Amino acid sequence: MAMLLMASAFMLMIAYACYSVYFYGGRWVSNPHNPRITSGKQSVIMGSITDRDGTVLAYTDEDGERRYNRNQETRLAVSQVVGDSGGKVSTGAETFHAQYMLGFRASVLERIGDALTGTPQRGDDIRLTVSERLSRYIGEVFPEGKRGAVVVLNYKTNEVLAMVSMPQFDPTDMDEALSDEQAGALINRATQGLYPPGSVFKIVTMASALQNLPDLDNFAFDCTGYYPVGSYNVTDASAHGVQTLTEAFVHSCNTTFAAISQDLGYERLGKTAEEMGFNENFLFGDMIVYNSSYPIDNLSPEDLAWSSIGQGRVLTTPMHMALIAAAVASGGVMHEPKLIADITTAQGGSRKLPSSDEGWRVMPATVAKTIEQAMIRTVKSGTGTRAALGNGYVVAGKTGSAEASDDKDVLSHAWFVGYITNDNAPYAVCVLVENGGSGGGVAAPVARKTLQKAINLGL
Amino acid sequence: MTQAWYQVLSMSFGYLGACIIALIVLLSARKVLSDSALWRRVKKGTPQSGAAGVLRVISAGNRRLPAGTEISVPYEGTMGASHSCDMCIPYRRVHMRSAFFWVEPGQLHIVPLHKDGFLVDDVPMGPGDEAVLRGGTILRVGDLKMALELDTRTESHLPAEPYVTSARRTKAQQGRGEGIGAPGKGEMRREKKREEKREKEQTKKGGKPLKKERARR
Amino acid sequence: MARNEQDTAKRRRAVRVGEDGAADARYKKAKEPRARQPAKKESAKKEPIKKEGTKRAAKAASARETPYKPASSPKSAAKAEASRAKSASKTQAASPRRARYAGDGMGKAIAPKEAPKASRREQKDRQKREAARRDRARAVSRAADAKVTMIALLTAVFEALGLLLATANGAGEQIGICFLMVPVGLLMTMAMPRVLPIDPLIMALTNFLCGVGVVVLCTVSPARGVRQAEFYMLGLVGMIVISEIVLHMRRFHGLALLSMLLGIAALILPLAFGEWQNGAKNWVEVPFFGSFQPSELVKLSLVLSLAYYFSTHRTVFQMMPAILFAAACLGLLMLQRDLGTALIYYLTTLAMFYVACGNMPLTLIGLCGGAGAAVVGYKMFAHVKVRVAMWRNPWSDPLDKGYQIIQALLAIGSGGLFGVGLGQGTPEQIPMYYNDFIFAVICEQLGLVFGLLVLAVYLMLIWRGATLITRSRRSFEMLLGCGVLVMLGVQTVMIVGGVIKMLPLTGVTMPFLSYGGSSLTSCLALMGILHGVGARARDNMEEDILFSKPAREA
Repeated sequence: MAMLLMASAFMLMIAYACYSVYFYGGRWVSNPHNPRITSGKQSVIMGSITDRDGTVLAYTDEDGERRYNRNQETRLAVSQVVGDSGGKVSTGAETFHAQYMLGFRASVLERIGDALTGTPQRGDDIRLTVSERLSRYIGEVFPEGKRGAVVVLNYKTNEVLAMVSMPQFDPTDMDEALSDEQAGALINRATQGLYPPGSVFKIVTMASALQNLPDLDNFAFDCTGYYPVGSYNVTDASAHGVQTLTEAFVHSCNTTFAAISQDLGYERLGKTAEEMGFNENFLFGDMIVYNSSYPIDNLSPEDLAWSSIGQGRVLTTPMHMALIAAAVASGGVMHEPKLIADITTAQGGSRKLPSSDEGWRVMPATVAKTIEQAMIRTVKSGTGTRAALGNGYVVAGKTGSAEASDDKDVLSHAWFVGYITNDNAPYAVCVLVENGGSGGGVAAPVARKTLQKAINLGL
Repeated sequence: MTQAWYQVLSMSFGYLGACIIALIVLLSARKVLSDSALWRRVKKGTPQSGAAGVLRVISAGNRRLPAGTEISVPYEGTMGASHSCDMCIPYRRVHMRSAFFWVEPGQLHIVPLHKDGFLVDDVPMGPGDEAVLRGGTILRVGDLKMALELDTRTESHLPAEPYVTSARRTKAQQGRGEGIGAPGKGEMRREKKREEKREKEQTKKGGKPLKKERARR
Repeated sequence: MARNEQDTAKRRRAVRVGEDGAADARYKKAKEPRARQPAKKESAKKEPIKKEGTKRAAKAASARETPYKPASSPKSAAKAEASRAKSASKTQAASPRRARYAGDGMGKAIAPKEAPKASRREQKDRQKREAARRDRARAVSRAADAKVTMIALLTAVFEALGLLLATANGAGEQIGICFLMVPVGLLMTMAMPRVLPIDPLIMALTNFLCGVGVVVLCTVSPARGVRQAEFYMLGLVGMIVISEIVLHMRRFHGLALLSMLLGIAALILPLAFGEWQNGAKNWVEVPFFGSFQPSELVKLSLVLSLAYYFSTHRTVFQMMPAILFAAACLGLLMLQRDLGTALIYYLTTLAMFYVACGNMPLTLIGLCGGAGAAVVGYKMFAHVKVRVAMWRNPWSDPLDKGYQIIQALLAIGSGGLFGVGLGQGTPEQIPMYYNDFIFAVICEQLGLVFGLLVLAVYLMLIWRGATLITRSRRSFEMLLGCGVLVMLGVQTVMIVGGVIKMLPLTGVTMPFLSYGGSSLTSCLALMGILHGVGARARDNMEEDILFSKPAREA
């Protein structure tokens, strides 16, 4: 028996090693503490990074120095995605994908080629999915002096078209960025910034209600402006009167959703939230996305009510919300976002990337359809009218104004999450403006401009 | 040799090493299996392997132990009425876990753990004694008589005759020893009753009546 | 485990095959038409067996260059032997005179045996046949077969190429002595098992593991590689001595007592004369030898004394001397702050106790006690707390306390599936890379696949050991081997688990691979015990073969 125990311990160990190397191996390599990256840079010519149109964002010149795009605006716009050569931004491609650019994944055949020609080893070139022009435009239209993030996804191909975090930094002038660490320019807010989602979270609550509560068609709730839960009142800006669930969604009625959350209970709402990726360890191959958190410890009914409208202890990243919007757009199936378009080896061949996932269903297609209708109405006649596009493009969206502080003078975080429903422009967007004010007023126009630009660019 | 060529060589050595070690693992697994198969074949060919000899029942104790039954004696282990014992003697007078024993060249050492009245060539043994048995020794408890036959392989020239530790032997000579191993009067009575009951049931069923078992004294 | 074996033997209650019976069977057999033994396909491929028995002896004498080799390939010979024995016992069962011993022997009377009379010439013939059979039995059980030869050759190739690479990498002339490992390994695996009590497979696998260790050390730290190779030779001598002792010694009482005394004394040494190193005081300087770690060598005496006391005594009270010795060792190791080794000792003791008496409640109590001690240790020692915290999240302090484990993980991740190549990468970044963290170095340089297969090799070693100890007839041998295997397995699991962040890190060496004279020597010595136990099992098997086969060459 002792032997059996030992054999199983060995098997467990082997399995654990496989598991952890499979899921975390890439992260370990791209860790900024890995001395192999710095030592690799000395012996290997690092490959270049280009955007989806082929614009070179970072490259190594003849002297072995790392250079970036000549245009400062471009440098700034993609600074978070590309990162810096010193590894200060650990989530940037310069560090996170260094294993390709330094040729760690080169096979022995390629090395024989190098040895035959006598050239020094050169790493792979990476082409990112982000568009430098779109990113630059977003930097221009983003509210002046505000912090925040914008993510644009193509929900058909799951490519990240733009990932901009404000404020930005210049990789050629790291001293400035480092001197002003308070500004937090080195953090990619799109993937690492954890914010309360506010009303945007109602997409999740609504999905849970549609899946779990019977006869919602006959549902009607009389909003009087406040709803007592336990010892607190969940308040609303104004009394919306009697309305259906969709109307409540369109008007972003807090009291209705607080009431629904009490019907749902913490278990069912928590289950839906976790299906949507809350509390989940995102192990995406192309980028590091911090874990969103949703409280499932059933603290009190008040806590549940606050959670259901995205306040309290619910925290999420703009990238995650963009993924949820993309999931609604693609009929309830969530996909892993892609940041690398392709990798070209030094010899000109292309390296095989891990195959893209099949996606995982986060809600039934019918539920996604209903939510889409509600989101379209939100942009048409609800809180998100300022995100509407002309020319026959139908935008579905949801605004959010998440209170970040108990202090009433501090402006709320402005959210807008949405996508274009048209097949010829499958773009999903998530805009977050830190302390920007109301989502409909501040974030929605940014989203509209961004989507319009994406259509114009024809990405 | 240039650095690049060294890198190529060392990387190919990595692939070669993986192949070598995979082969080694496979080969060793096959070797272990084939060796186990050889071992099993050898064991099939030698019915007595793993056993040092047999205890042959000479006079029957009960129906489960008719005369001629052979109880194989392993090299060491426990002896008792329980099936979990290495040497199982399913007889009512034998305790579930009666003794432990081991075999040394030509001799079987038994150390009883209970008073179940074993006689080694008519010398009783009690708990804690060490009895040394040679091939041919008669082991008796109640009506059950068993002769020990040890393998010729395990025989040697060492001990002259079987013994039960010296203290025990003096007791036996003084005539006091007999009582110690024997069951008490109450126990005898209870056992008699049990036997009668069983016999009645047996006759009711219409089966053959059991041969009445004589008490030892 | 031994019990199972005995159980099956018990259930069989089968016929006794004696020398007289054998003669009888031969007589019966001569009358019957000789049955041709169906040879299995694979053995037939190698060397088809045409005729059984008759010409075997002559063939064995003439066609073979060595007297020990069987007439056909060892496998087929064994098969033939076994099946012949089977048919022999069948004949006996059919023979009316033997029938009284067959089956259950229900209600049969006992009749005296009749021994057939034999003339002097017949006796002489019989003696000759005896000798021939003994030789064949030895040949069957000791034959070096193709698989082990293959393993030895592969190991030699690996070592030779690896050392050549190391030389090219800049280790240069100084590792010349390491090349000696190649012929020594071949010799030990292929030739020595014939004359020494050595199990070929265990030897081959041990040799391979040591070879991997030396090759990797030679590339990252040539001086250490050379020293490791020297200690390998020393360890082989120790291994042979110990295996001979285990095979030939009959009474272990004195040795057990002596080893207990010596063990305690050796563990006190570092406390008295040692220096604090890396938070532990487990090293001691010895003139002419350098520093060594007594706790490694005391493993031997622990296994020996535990096996002795647990096998000869059946009650817990009688086992006390060994348990007290183990407890004393644990206490001294705690004083040395060598908690990893203490854990190995503790788990080995517990496992051996359970195997010896199967007393689940007491074992569980011991386990709970250990868990309690672990909690107390966690509360008491600050560095244990740090290690557990670093196990849970090493990224919280990546530059100081979590540095070692993080660097190990980065190395494993950077290696990829097939490694960056021998001598490449930067394994020197990991503190103690040559010692506790050699697994990470192997994973980086030779790849994850190689690393995991190294674990599989350990598993094979343990599997082979387990099959050997189940064959032993004495619980002493069984416990001895069991202790060795548990120690080997626990140590490997602890350190590899620690390196891949599955378990909290405990500072123990990786058996055979890690640099360290005491560690390597003690591991080889422990293997010596296993060899001895295996050799006893092998002798038993030879005896069985001899015993079961009636001579039919005449």
